[in-house]
Amino acid sequence: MSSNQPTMLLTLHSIRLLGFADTGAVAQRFGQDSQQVESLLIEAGSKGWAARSSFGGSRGWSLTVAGRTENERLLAGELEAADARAAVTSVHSEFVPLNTDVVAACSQLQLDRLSRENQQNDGMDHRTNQTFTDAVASFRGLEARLAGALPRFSGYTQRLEQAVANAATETAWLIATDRDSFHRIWFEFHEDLIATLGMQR
Amino acid sequence: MTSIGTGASPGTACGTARTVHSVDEFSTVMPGDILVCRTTDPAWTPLFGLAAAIVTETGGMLSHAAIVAREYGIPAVLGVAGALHLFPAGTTIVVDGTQGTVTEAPSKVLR
Repeated sequence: MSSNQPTMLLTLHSIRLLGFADTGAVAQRFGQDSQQVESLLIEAGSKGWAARSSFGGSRGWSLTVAGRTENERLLAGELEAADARAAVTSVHSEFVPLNTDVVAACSQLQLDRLSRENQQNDGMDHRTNQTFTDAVASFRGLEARLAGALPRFSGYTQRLEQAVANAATETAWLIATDRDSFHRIWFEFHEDLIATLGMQR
Repeated sequence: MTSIGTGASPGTACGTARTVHSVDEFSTVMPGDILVCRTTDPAWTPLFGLAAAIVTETGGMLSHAAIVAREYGIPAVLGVAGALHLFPAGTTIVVDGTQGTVTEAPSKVLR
């Protein structure tokens, strides 16, 4: 991803999407300069929008409640400036049934795995491959419409395609939480979409 | 007292309920606690690595929280109405993610 001019919007939103992340990951999410992002993070910390802490042996940033509020205020301004509410709302309405299908497919994979005595992590079968490949195909058009209005939405499809490709030899790439798996990307996009619209789960 | 929800991730765990209303309360969760909350989003995922089990007021079998709980291999009971009030912080509870129940442990279990 090309380098973007660091902004508080992208910095706070990066933390929102990643959940808990160090400075490098926050900067990388939207291709921002890490030194400038560090300055923005320190500013965010001084304003009570972000907090740096240790969690599970790693150190990183997370948004505070005030930070989520500020993030949503900035996102609302972005949406209005781009006159993109109708486009994003339309995508959201089409994403909901697609999300149901993907979450069901992920759940089914897990339940199948739990029902097997010997858990194996070899490649996915043809039907699973088709399910996730079809989901990416349906998703591609949604991302294109979003990115046309708000370019920061670019990149999800490419990451999803990579996850499916990796899953050909290791199914963990579909759902695992320790890597950029299909479900992690999907979950992140869902958060991105509802945060952009100012919706609550 | 037993509450019923959707058993979204199998297994049983007993631990101290830790009610979390927002990210500002994440630091209260200790390893082995049972996370009790309204809902979760990507920011909450690291807590799944600490908690012994998850109880949420919303969600069900087909939810992101269910998927993440299964990946961490911890029991989850989702869609327990009023869980934040029913199981205040410090209560010892038993979460059965197979049956979909959350039960306040009798005092003799504590000793």
